[in-house]
Amino acid sequence: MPAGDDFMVQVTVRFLDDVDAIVEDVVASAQQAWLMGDTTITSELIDMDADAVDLRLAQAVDSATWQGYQAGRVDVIAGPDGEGLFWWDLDPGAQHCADCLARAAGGPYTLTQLVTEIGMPGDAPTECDGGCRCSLRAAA
Amino acid sequence: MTPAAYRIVDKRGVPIAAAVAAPAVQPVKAAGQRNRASVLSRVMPAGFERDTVATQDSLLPWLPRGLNDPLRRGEDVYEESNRASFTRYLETLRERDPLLFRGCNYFDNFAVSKGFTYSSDVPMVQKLTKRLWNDNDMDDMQHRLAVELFGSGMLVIRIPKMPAGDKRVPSVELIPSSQITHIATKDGRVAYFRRRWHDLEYPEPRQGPQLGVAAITPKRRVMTEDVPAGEVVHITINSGAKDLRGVSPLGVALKWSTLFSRDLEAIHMLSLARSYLGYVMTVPGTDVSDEEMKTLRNYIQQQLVQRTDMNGMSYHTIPTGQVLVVPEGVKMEGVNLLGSYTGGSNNNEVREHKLMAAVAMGLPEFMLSDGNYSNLASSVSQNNPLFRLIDAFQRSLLRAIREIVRLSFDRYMDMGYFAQMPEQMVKRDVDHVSELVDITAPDIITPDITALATPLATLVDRNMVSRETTAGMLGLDWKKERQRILDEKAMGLPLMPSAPGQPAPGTTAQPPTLFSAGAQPVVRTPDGVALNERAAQLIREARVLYTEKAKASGGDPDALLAAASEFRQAVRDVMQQLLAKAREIGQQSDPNTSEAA
Repeated sequence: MPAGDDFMVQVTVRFLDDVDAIVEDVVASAQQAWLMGDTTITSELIDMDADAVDLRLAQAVDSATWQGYQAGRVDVIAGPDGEGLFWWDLDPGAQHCADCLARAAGGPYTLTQLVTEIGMPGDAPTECDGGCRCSLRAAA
Repeated sequence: MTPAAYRIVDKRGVPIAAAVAAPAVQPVKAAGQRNRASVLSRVMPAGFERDTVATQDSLLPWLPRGLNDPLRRGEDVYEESNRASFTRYLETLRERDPLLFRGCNYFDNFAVSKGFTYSSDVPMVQKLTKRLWNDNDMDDMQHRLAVELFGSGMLVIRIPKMPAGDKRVPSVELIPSSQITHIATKDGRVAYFRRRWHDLEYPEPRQGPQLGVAAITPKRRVMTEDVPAGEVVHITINSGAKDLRGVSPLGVALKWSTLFSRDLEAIHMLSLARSYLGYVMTVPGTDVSDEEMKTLRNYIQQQLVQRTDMNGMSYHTIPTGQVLVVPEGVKMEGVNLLGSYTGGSNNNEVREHKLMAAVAMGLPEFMLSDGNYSNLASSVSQNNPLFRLIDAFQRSLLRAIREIVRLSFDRYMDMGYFAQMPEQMVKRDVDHVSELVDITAPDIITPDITALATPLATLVDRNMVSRETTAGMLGLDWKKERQRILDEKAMGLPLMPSAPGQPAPGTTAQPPTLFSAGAQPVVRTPDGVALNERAAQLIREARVLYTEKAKASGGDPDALLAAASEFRQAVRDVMQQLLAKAREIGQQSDPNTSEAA
């Protein structure tokens, strides 16, 4: 089983749940909007909701892209036997939360440590959560 | 010599009564008793003979009220027992008295400033508040609220209940406090407000220019109405336990402001009246009994004019504005009856009257003066109490606006809105839907960004305060600023470091970005397409389709749910494909470098 499967399952479930929640909010807002009794206002409200939905989904897409990519890197760094070691690298262009700084200062990590403790960038118990832009790298 | 009759004239010299026959001269009673007329005829100079001295009850007849009762101006309003009529008087005086007008104006402009603002993260609440705000012109009404509250001490704002089926925007009406004649209570609570006003019914307008001048006379009707307390937002200031109405600072300042005005009037009148006063004439080296002196005296008397005092009695005096010609060597100087009453800021008594009015309104002296008694230090030290008062006044206005929004949302709920409680109410544990509206008061003083920037940046670096809070302290909207920063980043513009002149820790040449904003390393497909952009485009197309169907649904729940279901499935499919593709690209990336492909 590829090493990144655990992460992939978690990430997929999380994003699909997010999508469901966003759509539920949109429907509820549309139902409320139709109570206004004025088609112009209803239309404006629906458009306002649409802008908010676009923003939320765009952020979700960005996060999902990076996390999917990192899951692929877990696969390739861990290797077929799952014994590869991981460095946690910071994005040089970003400011970092304390959790990511601690992870970058430590390591290299085993796959087990990654799965049980450290997490994967974007799917780790870090302050930046889904906004994390750190990356994994193979330890020599 | 006895005149044949007394001549009684008005101020223009026109006789106002028939000449009265002079009384008979009193006979000499006894050898030792003198005839008054004969005594007078000996001491009065030639040309001034009269049987009686011209009376002048008032020492300064040119003053409207004289010195007998300088505080009285018609009916004594300080003893006014009717608060409504006293409030009407204050309304009039606010338009006339510069101290009262400016005091009210300061509190209005400082407290309202750029205006109160509203926002809500619940779209429907935001939309309803926007309609309420715009239809009732709340931006203008804020100033009216401030002026009315400061000028009368009370706000009575009516938001009437709407008839069943009426879905118009609730109307907000500010009732002038002077129209409230009674506040009726029952069981210790306000039951209703009795309102009385004059309604003017004007004729229909005529079209086009008309020949000649036509009068326009409205019909005046006295209207009375009892406004139930349930429809009213009632706010007062400076009210104690017994007060239903508040106390206006203008009412407290009124007496002293009036005195100050009269002080200035008196000073001005005295300046003019100096020409009416007697002159002391000294001629060096002469004696009053000299023949030449008598000639000189007659010469001056010929230049006098006749005037009439308030009682209709005539007298002679030096003409105003005329040059009194005297021979060389004769010294003339005015008699200064009232000593050193010069007025101005040098006169402490006059200044104290103004200070009392300033104290009543809470204003420091330098705001009402020409600055003679203020310098920078005293201006700054005098400011703090004023701004605390303005802050308290602003909180009263904020309370009024919140109550207006609350009562208006009650009307909305009567119309059927919010039958289903918005989930934010549950999440935030609020009791009333109007609490989802954030009403923000403007800054009384503009924040000094140059003074605040460096300390705030230090606090942010030490994680003692958030960026959002510091943006608020600088008077900025954090959400808008963050979006603008992201947009500039997208344009490739360099971002400012976290502290002025200091690079962010751990960075080299590239300026830092907010980690939560994301530095956006791009994951590309082998053909160079950014994976997230392609996915976002597909999702946007699905969203547009959903929006069209939602608008066309007409509110039909089934149609809405069907459209939402299609949208959900489309987005889920895109997301799953995106994750799989991103993983695939990750598997093909170089494990020895952390840069994105």
